[in-house]
Amino acid sequence: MTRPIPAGDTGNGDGAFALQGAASIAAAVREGRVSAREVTEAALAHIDRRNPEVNAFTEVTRTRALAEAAAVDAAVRRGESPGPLAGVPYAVKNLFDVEGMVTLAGSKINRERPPATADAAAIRRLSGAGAVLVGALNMDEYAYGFSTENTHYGPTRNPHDTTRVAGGSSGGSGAAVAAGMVPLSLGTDTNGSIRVPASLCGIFGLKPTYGRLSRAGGYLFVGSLDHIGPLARSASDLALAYDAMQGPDAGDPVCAQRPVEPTAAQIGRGIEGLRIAVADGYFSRPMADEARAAVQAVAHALGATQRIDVPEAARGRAAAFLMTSIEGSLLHLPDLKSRAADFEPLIRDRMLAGVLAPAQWLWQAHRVRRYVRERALKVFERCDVIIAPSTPMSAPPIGTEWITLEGERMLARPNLGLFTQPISFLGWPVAAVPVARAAGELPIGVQVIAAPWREDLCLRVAAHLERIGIAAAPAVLSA
Amino acid sequence: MTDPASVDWAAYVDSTASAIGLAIDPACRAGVVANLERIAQVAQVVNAVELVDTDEAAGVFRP
Repeated sequence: MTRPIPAGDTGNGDGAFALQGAASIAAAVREGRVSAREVTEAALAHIDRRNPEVNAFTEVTRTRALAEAAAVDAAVRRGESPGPLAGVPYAVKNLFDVEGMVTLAGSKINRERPPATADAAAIRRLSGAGAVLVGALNMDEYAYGFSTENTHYGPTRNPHDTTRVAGGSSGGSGAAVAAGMVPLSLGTDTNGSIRVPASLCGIFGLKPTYGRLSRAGGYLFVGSLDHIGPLARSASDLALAYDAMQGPDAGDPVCAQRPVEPTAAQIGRGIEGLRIAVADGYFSRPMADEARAAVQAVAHALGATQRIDVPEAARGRAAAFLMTSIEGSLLHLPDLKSRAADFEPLIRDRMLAGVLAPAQWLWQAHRVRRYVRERALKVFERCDVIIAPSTPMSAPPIGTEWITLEGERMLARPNLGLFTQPISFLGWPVAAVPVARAAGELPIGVQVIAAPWREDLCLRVAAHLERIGIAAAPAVLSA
Repeated sequence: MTDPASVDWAAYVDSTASAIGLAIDPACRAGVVANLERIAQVAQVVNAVELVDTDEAAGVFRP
């Protein structure tokens, strides 16, 4: 049974400030109503209590967190601006470099590498905005998976029902936020790895446009498709974190030379004037009742009656699958040759197969990406925002191999990303939005998709859905 | 592209792995073959897209 905390209730000292959103924590710290140290200690205490059951954290950076909090408090005392995320505890998927720590990327193999000598670019920017890093989070090995059933570090458990998966590959990032251990986390998304855990854990996530946020200092999965982004319990917290991480970075060859386009002040503008459509065709293929109901509830609330086909979504997904199978494996060829037994058993055979694929398959997939892009972009002549399911179902039990959706039997793990994969292939921005559920019901979310570089529209619609009570992400204190 | 069902993927796995110097544990071989067949089926979908010579891949290399 879930025990959600109502918005605004700090939960009677149990995690206290850490259970509030990032924006309200930062405001309280800036105004001196609470110190960053108090917030950090509350978050660390809540992690100590809650993590043994959820297994979201692979490392807690206690010393660093208290030092960062002290620096924020000192800035407040000096009357300086401590930043838009002052004192906000956050944690990162363990593929992000954290200075002095080994970057695991969910693997046993990388544990033997030397500690990182510098923070990843995104961490530098969040720290610069006053946020406080409290730890690193579990993930599928090398981000190859949608379930965070990690054999080396144990599965991350869904805070809403700890017999179920949290989704993946940023499963720790989803579970840590859903359990109220942190109000904000960082994940990565190659084929759905932010949006899948956001859906299954009932929180918000933002997969920005491909190339928007610097991935420098993050361990690659499939560079051609990798994105980073925030997960949080409100659209406004996503916007705050996203704004803090924007801007060009020479350290990431994919990061776009675009100016910062702040969204936080824009997202309260509502949906007036926006043409909102529901994705049809590929996106109406078999799914569980709760997934279909989630899309319908959101479409109804937004008055979205237009249904729209995203051209070439199926072939786009197929090309993304090829790029992932081949590029994602070739990165590890030296280790596959010398120590294949040390890989995650759930992906080892797939990796070994990927390195043997003919070059033509990969090259065709890359060329097809441009082909699909040119055709798919035409949908934005007819709409500004598209609603689609995030996952075809709510969280399956840990260990689920097969699922049957509307009579169609399929492998569970790869198909959790059925609806997310075509969109990351196109690189379009998406807000993953949790649909409000009755007590005891498992969470599920939808994708709010916009044209490239229009993260502001995704976040505006997400904030509107939250305001009218259709979207909600209450923290869950115990399952 | 040849119909993936008509290809001897086990032989392909053995010869290609040998060509790139990858030793596959016999315990993994059947799983590798099954995975490669699955990738081949998906490749058939992608290869069905009729491209012209000017359909260039989108590179991100910026000198």
